[in-house]
Amino acid sequence: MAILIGLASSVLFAAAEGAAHATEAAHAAEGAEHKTGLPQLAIETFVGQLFWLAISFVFLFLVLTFLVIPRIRGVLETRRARVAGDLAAAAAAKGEADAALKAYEKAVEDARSRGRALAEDTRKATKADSDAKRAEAEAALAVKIADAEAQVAATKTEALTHIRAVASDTAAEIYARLTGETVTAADAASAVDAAMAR
Amino acid sequence: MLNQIAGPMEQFVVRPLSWAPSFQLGGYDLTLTNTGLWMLIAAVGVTLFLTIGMARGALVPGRWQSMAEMAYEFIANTVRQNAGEAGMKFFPLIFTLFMFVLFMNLFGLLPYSFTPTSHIVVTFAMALLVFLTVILVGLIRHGFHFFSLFVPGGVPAWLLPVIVPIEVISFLSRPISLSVRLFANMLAGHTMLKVFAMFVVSLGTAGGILSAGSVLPMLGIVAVTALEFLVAGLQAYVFAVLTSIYLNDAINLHEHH
Repeated sequence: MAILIGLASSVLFAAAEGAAHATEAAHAAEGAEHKTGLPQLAIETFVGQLFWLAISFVFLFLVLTFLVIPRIRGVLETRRARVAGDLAAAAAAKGEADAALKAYEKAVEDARSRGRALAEDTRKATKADSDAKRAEAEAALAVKIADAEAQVAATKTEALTHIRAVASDTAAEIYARLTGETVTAADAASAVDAAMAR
Repeated sequence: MLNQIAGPMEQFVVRPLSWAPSFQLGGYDLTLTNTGLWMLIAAVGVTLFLTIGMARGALVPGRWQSMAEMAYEFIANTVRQNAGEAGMKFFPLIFTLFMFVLFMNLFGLLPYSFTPTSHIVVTFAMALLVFLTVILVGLIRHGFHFFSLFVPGGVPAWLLPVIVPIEVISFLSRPISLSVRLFANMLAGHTMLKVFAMFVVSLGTAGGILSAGSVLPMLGIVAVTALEFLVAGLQAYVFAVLTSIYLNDAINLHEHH
Protein backbone atom coordinates (compact mmCIF):
# COMPACT_ATOMS: atom_id res chain seq x y z
CA MET A 1 0.00 0.00 0.00
CA ALA A 2 2.69 2.45 1.09
CA ILE A 3 4.70 1.55 -1.99
CA LEU A 4 1.74 2.32 -4.22
CA ILE A 5 1.08 5.62 -2.55
CA GLY A 6 4.77 6.43 -2.84
CA LEU A 7 4.65 5.50 -6.50
CA ALA A 8 1.54 7.61 -6.97
CA SER A 9 3.13 10.60 -5.31
CA SER A 10 6.29 10.27 -7.38
CA VAL A 11 4.16 10.12 -10.50
CA LEU A 12 2.32 13.17 -9.23
CA PHE A 13 5.63 14.93 -8.69
CA ALA A 14 6.75 14.08 -12.20
CA ALA A 15 3.40 15.25 -13.47
CA ALA A 16 3.71 18.52 -11.61
CA GLU A 17 7.10 19.04 -13.20
CA GLY A 18 5.58 18.29 -16.56
CA ALA A 19 2.84 20.79 -15.87
CA ALA A 20 5.45 23.40 -15.02
CA HIS A 21 7.18 22.75 -18.34
CA ALA A 22 3.83 22.89 -20.02
CA THR A 23 3.07 26.28 -18.51
CA GLU A 24 6.38 27.60 -19.81
CA ALA A 25 5.58 26.23 -23.21
CA ALA A 26 2.14 27.76 -22.99
CA HIS A 27 3.74 31.11 -22.27
CA ALA A 28 5.97 30.66 -25.26
CA ALA A 29 2.95 29.96 -27.42
CA GLU A 30 0.97 32.79 -25.88
CA GLY A 31 0.33 34.41 -29.23
CA ALA A 32 -1.49 31.31 -30.48
CA GLU A 33 -3.91 31.16 -27.54
CA HIS A 34 -7.24 32.60 -28.46
CA LYS A 35 -8.65 32.21 -25.01
CA THR A 36 -6.77 33.26 -21.94
CA GLY A 37 -6.55 30.95 -18.94
CA LEU A 38 -6.99 27.22 -18.54
CA PRO A 39 -9.94 25.60 -20.32
CA GLN A 40 -10.44 23.77 -17.02
CA LEU A 41 -11.41 27.09 -15.41
CA ALA A 42 -14.01 28.03 -18.01
CA ILE A 43 -16.86 28.21 -15.54
CA GLU A 44 -19.54 28.49 -18.21
CA THR A 45 -18.85 24.84 -19.21
CA PHE A 46 -19.23 23.41 -15.68
CA VAL A 47 -22.97 22.83 -15.62
CA GLY A 48 -22.90 21.08 -18.97
CA GLN A 49 -20.00 18.85 -17.90
CA LEU A 50 -21.69 17.97 -14.62
CA PHE A 51 -24.94 17.21 -16.46
CA TRP A 52 -23.31 14.70 -18.82
CA LEU A 53 -21.16 13.33 -16.02
CA ALA A 54 -24.28 12.67 -13.94
CA ILE A 55 -26.02 10.96 -16.86
CA SER A 56 -23.06 8.71 -17.74
CA PHE A 57 -22.17 7.93 -14.14
CA VAL A 58 -25.71 7.12 -13.02
CA PHE A 59 -26.25 5.03 -16.18
CA LEU A 60 -23.03 3.09 -15.57
CA PHE A 61 -23.71 2.71 -11.85
CA LEU A 62 -27.17 1.27 -12.48
CA VAL A 63 -25.96 -1.07 -15.22
CA LEU A 64 -23.08 -2.36 -13.13
CA THR A 65 -25.09 -2.67 -9.91
CA PHE A 66 -28.10 -4.45 -11.37
CA LEU A 67 -26.75 -6.29 -14.41
CA VAL A 68 -23.01 -6.74 -14.54
CA ILE A 69 -22.01 -7.31 -10.92
CA PRO A 70 -24.71 -9.93 -10.18
CA ARG A 71 -23.76 -11.65 -13.43
CA ILE A 72 -20.03 -11.81 -12.62
CA ARG A 73 -20.75 -12.78 -9.02
CA GLY A 74 -23.06 -15.57 -10.24
CA VAL A 75 -20.45 -16.93 -12.63
CA LEU A 76 -17.71 -16.84 -9.99
CA GLU A 77 -20.02 -18.44 -7.42
CA THR A 78 -21.01 -21.20 -9.84
CA ARG A 79 -17.37 -21.88 -10.57
CA ARG A 80 -16.45 -21.96 -6.89
CA ALA A 81 -19.34 -24.34 -6.12
CA ARG A 82 -18.44 -26.51 -9.10
CA VAL A 83 -14.80 -26.73 -8.07
CA ALA A 84 -15.72 -27.50 -4.46
CA GLY A 85 -18.23 -30.13 -5.65
CA ASP A 86 -15.67 -31.72 -7.94
CA LEU A 87 -13.11 -31.81 -5.15
CA ALA A 88 -15.63 -33.45 -2.80
CA ALA A 89 -16.54 -35.97 -5.50
CA ALA A 90 -12.86 -36.71 -6.06
CA ALA A 91 -12.34 -37.21 -2.32
CA ALA A 92 -15.36 -39.53 -2.17
CA ALA A 93 -14.08 -41.49 -5.18
CA LYS A 94 -10.69 -41.82 -3.53
CA GLY A 95 -12.34 -43.12 -0.35
CA GLU A 96 -14.27 -45.65 -2.40
CA ALA A 97 -11.12 -46.74 -4.19
CA ASP A 98 -9.33 -47.14 -0.87
CA ALA A 99 -12.20 -49.20 0.53
CA ALA A 100 -12.24 -51.31 -2.63
CA LEU A 101 -8.51 -51.88 -2.35
CA LYS A 102 -8.91 -52.94 1.28
CA ALA A 103 -11.78 -55.29 0.40
CA TYR A 104 -9.70 -56.74 -2.42
CA GLU A 105 -6.73 -57.32 -0.14
CA LYS A 106 -8.99 -58.94 2.45
CA ALA A 107 -10.53 -61.18 -0.21
CA VAL A 108 -7.10 -62.22 -1.44
CA GLU A 109 -5.98 -62.96 2.13
CA ASP A 110 -9.17 -64.96 2.81
CA ALA A 111 -8.78 -66.93 -0.40
CA ARG A 112 -5.17 -67.64 0.41
CA SER A 113 -5.94 -68.95 3.91
CA ARG A 114 -8.90 -70.95 2.59
CA GLY A 115 -6.67 -72.45 -0.04
CA ARG A 116 -4.10 -73.30 2.58
CA ALA A 117 -6.76 -75.01 4.75
CA LEU A 118 -8.14 -76.85 1.75
CA ALA A 119 -4.69 -78.09 0.77
CA GLU A 120 -4.07 -79.23 4.35
CA ASP A 121 -7.40 -81.06 4.49
CA THR A 122 -6.83 -82.69 1.13
CA ARG A 123 -3.37 -83.77 2.12
CA LYS A 124 -4.70 -85.27 5.38
CA ALA A 125 -7.57 -87.03 3.60
CA THR A 126 -5.28 -88.42 0.94
CA LYS A 127 -2.82 -89.61 3.54
CA ALA A 128 -5.55 -91.31 5.58
CA ASP A 129 -6.95 -92.88 2.44
CA SER A 130 -3.61 -94.16 1.28
CA ASP A 131 -2.76 -95.38 4.80
CA ALA A 132 -6.00 -97.32 4.93
CA LYS A 133 -5.43 -98.81 1.49
CA ARG A 134 -1.90 -99.76 2.37
CA ALA A 135 -3.02 -101.38 5.61
CA GLU A 136 -5.67 -103.28 3.73
CA ALA A 137 -3.20 -104.41 1.08
CA GLU A 138 -0.70 -105.42 3.75
CA ALA A 139 -3.35 -107.42 5.59
CA ALA A 140 -4.36 -109.21 2.39
CA LEU A 141 -0.73 -109.86 1.63
CA ALA A 142 -0.13 -111.23 5.13
CA VAL A 143 -3.05 -113.63 4.73
CA LYS A 144 -1.65 -114.80 1.38
CA ILE A 145 1.82 -115.21 2.87
CA ALA A 146 0.41 -117.25 5.74
CA ASP A 147 -1.53 -119.42 3.31
CA ALA A 148 1.52 -119.94 1.16
CA GLU A 149 3.67 -120.76 4.16
CA ALA A 150 1.09 -123.25 5.38
CA GLN A 151 0.98 -124.82 1.95
CA VAL A 152 4.78 -124.96 1.81
CA ALA A 153 4.85 -126.62 5.24
CA ALA A 154 2.17 -129.09 4.25
CA THR A 155 3.95 -129.88 1.00
CA LYS A 156 7.23 -130.23 2.82
CA THR A 157 5.71 -132.55 5.45
CA GLU A 158 4.05 -134.52 2.70
CA ALA A 159 7.32 -134.64 0.77
CA LEU A 160 9.16 -135.80 3.88
CA THR A 161 6.75 -138.67 4.30
CA HIS A 162 7.25 -139.57 0.65
CA ILE A 163 11.02 -139.38 1.18
CA ARG A 164 10.82 -142.03 3.92
CA ALA A 165 8.76 -144.41 1.80
CA VAL A 166 10.98 -143.89 -1.22
CA ALA A 167 14.11 -144.23 0.92
CA SER A 168 12.96 -147.51 2.50
CA ASP A 169 11.88 -148.85 -0.90
CA THR A 170 15.18 -147.86 -2.39
CA ALA A 171 17.09 -149.25 0.60
CA ALA A 172 15.23 -152.61 0.35
CA GLU A 173 15.92 -152.75 -3.40
CA ILE A 174 19.63 -151.89 -2.91
CA TYR A 175 19.88 -154.49 -0.16
CA ALA A 176 18.25 -157.11 -2.34
CA ARG A 177 20.57 -156.41 -5.26
CA LEU A 178 23.70 -156.41 -3.07
CA THR A 179 22.92 -159.43 -0.94
CA GLY A 180 20.39 -161.28 -2.97
CA GLU A 181 18.24 -161.47 0.05
CA THR A 182 14.99 -159.71 0.50
CA VAL A 183 14.10 -157.70 3.52
CA THR A 184 10.68 -156.90 4.66
CA ALA A 185 9.34 -153.48 4.10
CA ALA A 186 8.99 -153.01 7.84
CA ASP A 187 12.68 -153.82 8.45
CA ALA A 188 13.73 -151.42 5.72
CA ALA A 189 11.51 -148.66 7.11
CA SER A 190 12.89 -149.01 10.62
CA ALA A 191 16.47 -149.02 9.27
CA VAL A 192 15.70 -145.81 7.32
CA ASP A 193 14.14 -144.21 10.37
CA ALA A 194 17.23 -145.11 12.38
CA ALA A 195 19.52 -143.58 9.73
CA MET A 196 17.39 -140.40 9.45
CA ALA A 197 17.42 -139.99 13.18
CA ARG A 198 21.21 -139.90 13.17
CA MET B 1 5.15 29.08 -37.71
CA LEU B 2 4.15 28.42 -34.11
CA ASN B 3 1.31 30.87 -34.42
CA GLN B 4 -0.52 28.53 -36.74
CA ILE B 5 -0.38 25.57 -34.33
CA ALA B 6 -2.95 25.26 -31.58
CA GLY B 7 -1.46 25.71 -28.11
CA PRO B 8 -0.96 22.75 -25.75
CA MET B 9 -4.04 23.77 -23.79
CA GLU B 10 -6.28 23.87 -26.84
CA GLN B 11 -6.90 20.11 -26.52
CA PHE B 12 -8.74 20.70 -23.25
CA VAL B 13 -11.25 23.24 -24.57
CA VAL B 14 -14.82 22.08 -24.05
CA ARG B 15 -16.89 22.68 -27.18
CA PRO B 16 -20.44 21.81 -28.11
CA LEU B 17 -20.44 19.23 -30.90
CA SER B 18 -21.45 20.72 -34.24
CA TRP B 19 -23.77 17.78 -35.03
CA ALA B 20 -25.41 17.66 -31.59
CA PRO B 21 -28.90 19.21 -31.30
CA SER B 22 -28.96 22.32 -29.17
CA PHE B 23 -30.25 21.54 -25.69
CA GLN B 24 -31.10 24.30 -23.22
CA LEU B 25 -32.46 23.69 -19.74
CA GLY B 26 -33.11 26.21 -16.97
CA GLY B 27 -31.02 28.84 -18.68
CA TYR B 28 -28.04 26.51 -19.09
CA ASP B 29 -26.62 25.24 -22.35
CA LEU B 30 -26.55 21.44 -21.98
CA THR B 31 -25.81 20.66 -25.62
CA LEU B 32 -23.65 17.54 -25.90
CA THR B 33 -19.98 18.56 -25.83
CA ASN B 34 -16.78 16.72 -26.69
CA THR B 35 -16.23 15.89 -23.00
CA GLY B 36 -19.85 14.79 -22.57
CA LEU B 37 -19.53 12.54 -25.61
CA TRP B 38 -16.40 10.84 -24.25
CA MET B 39 -17.99 10.37 -20.83
CA LEU B 40 -20.87 8.60 -22.54
CA ILE B 41 -18.45 6.57 -24.67
CA ALA B 42 -16.54 5.53 -21.55
CA ALA B 43 -19.77 4.49 -19.77
CA VAL B 44 -20.99 2.54 -22.80
CA GLY B 45 -17.49 1.13 -23.30
CA VAL B 46 -17.37 -0.23 -19.75
CA THR B 47 -20.85 -1.68 -20.19
CA LEU B 48 -19.94 -3.41 -23.45
CA PHE B 49 -16.59 -4.61 -22.12
CA LEU B 50 -18.20 -6.25 -19.10
CA THR B 51 -21.45 -7.51 -20.64
CA ILE B 52 -19.96 -8.94 -23.83
CA GLY B 53 -17.10 -10.41 -21.81
CA MET B 54 -19.53 -12.14 -19.46
CA ALA B 55 -22.10 -13.00 -22.14
CA ARG B 56 -21.21 -16.68 -22.22
CA GLY B 57 -20.56 -16.90 -18.50
CA ALA B 58 -18.39 -19.91 -19.19
CA LEU B 59 -17.13 -22.15 -16.41
CA VAL B 60 -13.67 -21.97 -17.97
CA PRO B 61 -13.36 -18.31 -19.05
CA GLY B 62 -11.91 -17.19 -22.35
CA ARG B 63 -9.54 -14.24 -22.66
CA TRP B 64 -12.19 -11.55 -22.64
CA GLN B 65 -14.17 -13.10 -19.81
CA SER B 66 -10.91 -13.45 -17.85
CA MET B 67 -10.27 -9.72 -18.20
CA ALA B 68 -13.78 -8.87 -17.00
CA GLU B 69 -13.48 -11.25 -14.06
CA MET B 70 -9.99 -9.98 -13.29
CA ALA B 71 -11.23 -6.37 -13.13
CA TYR B 72 -14.03 -7.48 -10.79
CA GLU B 73 -11.83 -9.54 -8.49
CA PHE B 74 -9.06 -6.93 -8.49
CA ILE B 75 -11.38 -4.25 -7.13
CA ALA B 76 -13.24 -6.71 -4.88
CA ASN B 77 -9.92 -7.70 -3.26
CA THR B 78 -8.87 -4.06 -2.93
CA VAL B 79 -12.14 -3.16 -1.19
CA ARG B 80 -12.00 -6.25 1.03
CA GLN B 81 -8.41 -5.52 2.05
CA ASN B 82 -8.94 -1.85 2.79
CA ALA B 83 -12.49 -1.70 4.10
CA GLY B 84 -13.18 -5.26 5.19
CA GLU B 85 -16.23 -7.40 4.47
CA ALA B 86 -18.56 -4.58 5.58
CA GLY B 87 -16.99 -2.39 2.90
CA MET B 88 -18.22 -4.78 0.21
CA LYS B 89 -21.61 -3.09 0.52
CA PHE B 90 -20.01 -0.17 -1.35
CA PHE B 91 -18.34 -2.36 -3.93
CA PRO B 92 -20.71 -1.30 -6.76
CA LEU B 93 -19.86 2.37 -6.17
CA ILE B 94 -16.11 1.76 -6.07
CA PHE B 95 -16.19 -0.60 -9.03
CA THR B 96 -18.17 1.94 -11.05
CA LEU B 97 -15.72 4.71 -10.14
CA PHE B 98 -12.73 2.57 -11.03
CA MET B 99 -14.02 1.32 -14.38
CA PHE B 100 -15.40 4.74 -15.35
CA VAL B 101 -12.19 6.61 -14.53
CA LEU B 102 -10.04 3.89 -16.12
CA PHE B 103 -11.97 3.96 -19.39
CA MET B 104 -12.08 7.77 -19.50
CA ASN B 105 -8.29 7.82 -18.95
CA LEU B 106 -7.60 5.12 -21.55
CA PHE B 107 -9.99 6.42 -24.21
CA GLY B 108 -8.42 9.84 -23.65
CA LEU B 109 -5.18 8.43 -25.06
CA LEU B 110 -6.81 7.72 -28.42
CA PRO B 111 -5.98 10.29 -31.09
CA TYR B 112 -8.73 12.90 -31.62
CA SER B 113 -10.43 11.84 -28.39
CA PHE B 114 -11.05 13.90 -25.29
CA THR B 115 -10.11 13.16 -21.69
CA PRO B 116 -12.95 14.14 -19.33
CA THR B 117 -10.74 13.32 -16.31
CA SER B 118 -8.43 16.17 -17.29
CA HIS B 119 -11.14 18.53 -16.06
CA ILE B 120 -11.23 19.41 -12.38
CA VAL B 121 -15.03 19.75 -12.39
CA VAL B 122 -15.41 16.12 -13.38
CA THR B 123 -12.85 14.72 -10.94
CA PHE B 124 -14.01 17.00 -8.14
CA ALA B 125 -17.61 15.93 -8.64
CA MET B 126 -16.60 12.29 -8.25
CA ALA B 127 -14.38 13.06 -5.26
CA LEU B 128 -17.23 15.00 -3.68
CA LEU B 129 -19.51 12.02 -4.24
CA VAL B 130 -17.03 9.84 -2.33
CA PHE B 131 -16.61 12.47 0.41
CA LEU B 132 -20.35 12.87 0.95
CA THR B 133 -20.86 9.11 0.90
CA VAL B 134 -18.21 8.74 3.61
CA ILE B 135 -19.84 11.40 5.81
CA LEU B 136 -23.33 9.99 5.25
CA VAL B 137 -22.29 6.40 5.95
CA GLY B 138 -20.28 7.49 9.00
CA LEU B 139 -23.18 9.45 10.47
CA ILE B 140 -25.71 6.68 9.79
CA ARG B 141 -23.52 3.96 11.26
CA HIS B 142 -22.00 5.82 14.20
CA GLY B 143 -24.13 8.93 14.69
CA PHE B 144 -22.39 11.72 16.59
CA HIS B 145 -19.65 9.27 17.54
CA PHE B 146 -18.41 9.55 13.93
CA PHE B 147 -16.66 12.80 14.88
CA SER B 148 -14.32 10.85 17.16
CA LEU B 149 -12.53 10.24 13.84
CA PHE B 150 -10.90 13.65 14.45
CA VAL B 151 -9.61 12.63 17.87
CA PRO B 152 -6.85 10.06 17.38
CA GLY B 153 -6.33 7.69 20.29
CA GLY B 154 -3.25 7.87 22.55
CA VAL B 155 -2.72 11.61 22.11
CA PRO B 156 -2.17 13.63 25.33
CA ALA B 157 -5.06 16.00 26.12
CA TRP B 158 -2.97 19.18 25.84
CA LEU B 159 -2.09 18.30 22.24
CA LEU B 160 -5.73 17.92 21.20
CA PRO B 161 -6.32 21.62 20.41
CA VAL B 162 -3.55 21.28 17.83
CA ILE B 163 -4.26 17.76 16.60
CA VAL B 164 -8.02 18.06 16.13
CA PRO B 165 -7.87 21.06 13.73
CA ILE B 166 -5.16 19.27 11.75
CA GLU B 167 -7.30 16.16 11.54
CA VAL B 168 -10.33 18.22 10.49
CA ILE B 169 -8.34 20.03 7.82
CA SER B 170 -6.84 16.80 6.52
CA PHE B 171 -10.31 15.25 6.40
CA LEU B 172 -11.75 18.24 4.56
CA SER B 173 -8.88 18.32 2.09
CA ARG B 174 -9.53 14.73 1.02
CA PRO B 175 -11.90 15.55 -1.86
CA ILE B 176 -9.45 18.21 -3.05
CA SER B 177 -6.41 15.93 -3.04
CA LEU B 178 -8.43 13.07 -4.53
CA SER B 179 -9.68 15.18 -7.43
CA VAL B 180 -6.54 17.26 -8.03
CA ARG B 181 -4.34 14.15 -8.14
CA LEU B 182 -6.33 12.64 -11.00
CA PHE B 183 -6.97 15.86 -12.87
CA ALA B 184 -3.35 17.08 -12.61
CA ASN B 185 -1.96 13.78 -13.82
CA MET B 186 -4.19 13.76 -16.87
CA LEU B 187 -3.63 17.44 -17.58
CA ALA B 188 0.15 17.17 -17.26
CA GLY B 189 0.45 14.00 -19.32
CA HIS B 190 -1.60 15.25 -22.23
CA THR B 191 0.08 18.66 -22.14
CA MET B 192 3.47 17.03 -22.17
CA LEU B 193 2.53 14.96 -25.23
CA LYS B 194 1.32 18.08 -27.01
CA VAL B 195 4.43 20.07 -26.12
CA PHE B 196 6.70 17.33 -27.42
CA ALA B 197 4.59 17.16 -30.57
CA MET B 198 5.07 20.90 -31.04
CA PHE B 199 8.82 20.45 -30.62
CA VAL B 200 8.80 17.81 -33.33
CA VAL B 201 7.03 20.15 -35.74
CA SER B 202 9.05 23.25 -34.97
CA LEU B 203 12.40 21.41 -35.04
CA GLY B 204 11.46 19.49 -38.17
CA THR B 205 10.62 22.65 -40.07
CA ALA B 206 13.64 24.56 -38.77
CA GLY B 207 15.87 22.95 -41.42
CA GLY B 208 19.43 21.69 -41.34
CA ILE B 209 20.78 19.81 -38.35
CA LEU B 210 17.77 20.85 -36.27
CA SER B 211 15.44 18.82 -38.50
CA ALA B 212 17.39 15.67 -37.64
CA GLY B 213 17.10 16.64 -33.98
CA SER B 214 13.32 16.38 -34.15
CA VAL B 215 13.74 12.63 -33.68
CA LEU B 216 14.48 13.19 -30.00
CA PRO B 217 11.13 14.71 -28.98
CA MET B 218 9.46 12.07 -31.16
CA LEU B 219 11.10 9.37 -29.03
CA GLY B 220 9.97 11.39 -26.03
CA ILE B 221 6.37 11.15 -27.26
CA VAL B 222 6.64 7.36 -27.54
CA ALA B 223 8.06 7.08 -24.03
CA VAL B 224 5.52 9.47 -22.50
CA THR B 225 2.66 7.67 -24.25
CA ALA B 226 3.77 4.42 -22.64
CA LEU B 227 4.03 6.22 -19.30
CA GLU B 228 0.55 7.67 -19.79
CA PHE B 229 -0.93 4.19 -20.15
CA LEU B 230 0.61 3.32 -16.80
CA VAL B 231 -0.66 6.56 -15.26
CA ALA B 232 -4.15 5.95 -16.68
CA GLY B 233 -4.41 2.62 -14.91
CA LEU B 234 -2.57 3.70 -11.80
CA GLN B 235 -4.68 6.80 -11.21
CA ALA B 236 -7.90 4.84 -11.61
CA TYR B 237 -6.54 2.34 -9.08
CA VAL B 238 -5.42 5.08 -6.67
CA PHE B 239 -8.89 6.61 -6.87
CA ALA B 240 -10.46 3.26 -6.01
CA VAL B 241 -8.00 2.50 -3.21
CA LEU B 242 -8.40 5.89 -1.55
CA THR B 243 -12.16 5.62 -1.83
CA SER B 244 -12.08 2.28 -0.01
CA ILE B 245 -9.69 3.63 2.63
CA TYR B 246 -11.97 6.63 3.25
CA LEU B 247 -14.99 4.34 3.41
CA ASN B 248 -13.14 2.17 5.91
CA ASP B 249 -12.90 5.26 8.17
CA ALA B 250 -16.64 5.69 7.92
CA ILE B 251 -17.41 2.03 8.55
CA ASN B 252 -14.84 1.10 11.18
CA LEU B 253 -13.71 4.53 12.51
CA HIS B 254 -10.17 3.97 13.74
CA GLU B 255 -9.83 0.24 13.34
CA HIS B 256 -7.75 -0.79 10.41
CA HIS B 257 -8.26 -3.68 8.13
